Amino acid sequence: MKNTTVQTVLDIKDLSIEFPIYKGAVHAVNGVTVHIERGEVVGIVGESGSAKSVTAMMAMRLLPEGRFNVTGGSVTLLGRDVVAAREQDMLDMRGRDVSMIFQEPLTALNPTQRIERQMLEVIRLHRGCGKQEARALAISLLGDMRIADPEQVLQRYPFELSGGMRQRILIALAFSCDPKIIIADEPTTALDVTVQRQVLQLMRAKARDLGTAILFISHDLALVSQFCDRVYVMYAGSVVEDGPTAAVLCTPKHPYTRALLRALPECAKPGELLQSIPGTVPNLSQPLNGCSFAPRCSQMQPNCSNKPPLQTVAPKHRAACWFAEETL
Amino acid sequence: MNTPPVLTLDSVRVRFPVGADWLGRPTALVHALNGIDLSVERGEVLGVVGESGCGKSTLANVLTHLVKPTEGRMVWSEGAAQKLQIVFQDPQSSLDPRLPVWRVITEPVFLKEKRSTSELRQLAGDLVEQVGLRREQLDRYPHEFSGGQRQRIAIARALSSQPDVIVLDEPTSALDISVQAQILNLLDELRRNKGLTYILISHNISVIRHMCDRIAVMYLGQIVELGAAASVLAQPAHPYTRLLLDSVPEIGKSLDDGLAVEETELPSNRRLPEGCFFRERCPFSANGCEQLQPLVAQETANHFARCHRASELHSLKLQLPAAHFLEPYP
Repeated sequence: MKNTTVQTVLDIKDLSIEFPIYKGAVHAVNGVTVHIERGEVVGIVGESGSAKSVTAMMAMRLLPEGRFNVTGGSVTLLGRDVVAAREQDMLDMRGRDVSMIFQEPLTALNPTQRIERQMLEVIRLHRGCGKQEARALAISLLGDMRIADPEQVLQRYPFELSGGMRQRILIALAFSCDPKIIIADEPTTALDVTVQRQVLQLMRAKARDLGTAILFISHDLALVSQFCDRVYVMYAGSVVEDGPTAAVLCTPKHPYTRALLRALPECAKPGELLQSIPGTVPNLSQPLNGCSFAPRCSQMQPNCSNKPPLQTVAPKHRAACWFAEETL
Repeated sequence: MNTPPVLTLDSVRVRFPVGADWLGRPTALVHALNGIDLSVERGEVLGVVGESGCGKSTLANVLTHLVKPTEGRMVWSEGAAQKLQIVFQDPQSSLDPRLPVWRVITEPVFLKEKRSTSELRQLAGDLVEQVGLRREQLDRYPHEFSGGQRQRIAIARALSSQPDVIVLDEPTSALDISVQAQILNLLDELRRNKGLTYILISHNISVIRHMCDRIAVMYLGQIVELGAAASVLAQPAHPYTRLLLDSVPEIGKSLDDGLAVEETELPSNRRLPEGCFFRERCPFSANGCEQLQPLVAQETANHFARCHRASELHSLKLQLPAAHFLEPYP
């Protein structure tokens, strides 16, 4: 196989995407760089509107055709240019080399078909194997997800299963064709904490076994800290900080990351006021000049009207702030 | 904690009929609440935690009289105005899109009392300023506001009729972290200034830890543990509370730390388990667990748990490390 020699699984370089609207465009993604090696578990955190999902969707080119413009940069998935690829090539890759786990397991499964039919369809399409073989594989995949009675579960409809069970089925399905990378967009937001922990443990164990990379998108900083090796913090369509999870979340260098961590209820003692971030997210239909966080930043200086590049502040740890090196 | 309760729930049970045979008779019952005894004291914040399906929302519906208890009753203390308001989870769907904000805010008053329009506008103006919005926004419609601002409007509406108790049903789970901090601060400030009483329903333990004086942990329609927030979170007596706390993601904690169970599925509430409801999932189940467990007082004052092995498990040093807080960054 050609792809086994490729160490870089996903390489997004300086990507900019805009969505045309009536008179103008929403500049959703403004120069995002994300790099994932084989077997890495990488997180993207950010609040709503930070373009974390758009970035992930673009990695598989799942954005609605013709409704978006890539205005700059490149996306390379397993050595292939995603922006210029033909739709047929993308169809071949999706599900086989790269698969996706969505937030809401009920809408990701077809409500009118039994689990067996849905799983076998995917497995047979991508692996080209027979029915018996596909069924055996489905059963072993469900077994890996610690589903007690896989044969019985295959005969069920999605509505008969609990949320945790459905999400485990989708994860089993995502792993079914030994993908090189799985993109998981808030996979556990709909689940309870006890179920969430089990689902994530199973997913990580399976990914380690197979050497699958995971791109994990979440708004939950604590969850990312437990699950990911590396993390990208996004704000208003740009990456503001990236690095090893422990470094970014324990010694954050960008004022936004710091403000976000301080706003967590865990950070204040009960009864104390929380430190919220003043102001609101910038309007992305207007052109951004300079640092996108500057209007809300407590350490703003005149230099912030120029857009700061991501610069190395510690080994493998970068932040897009002119004053990241200084102790602020 | 010697203040008289403002509101008391007395062994409240709620069962919903499901399915129907050819005569329209229900074929099964969903046991949503199974004997809730709870008193709410004036001026406190009572937190209710639990997983989905544990009856948190049914409890909110009973409190707001949207659901009538099948058994048991809800008693107001004497002198209470018997008013209760609720702030819902989703500020998008809980505000009428066709009413201007001042109408939305004063609706609870408009429905109950005869007041002139100018009085209502005056009231709405005072309230929006208290929740951090501006008077000139009174004539706008809900869609013109952001999620955080809409939640502020919902809070102003809850305040307008001067209720004894405000039920907060997941007030921040639809909001971003930075906005959540603003709303929690607002709620806290309002409570201090006005001496409000909150019942805060949430699945987010850190929000509960930050806001509450007392915590009730619910499991399968029962309160399994009840006590002061500090003692429940630092020394959980019931194994379920422990499992719940161990599962909460925390920065700096490994995914594999703490108590874990194989069986993460909640048992069905169509047919209630016999004995302790948590028995089948409990890693510490032993003889005696087949008995129905009452709420037993624990060593620390005002701390109750439905587990006969609670003190034994505690002395076995199976407890958690004490809840720790993140150090502020230099």
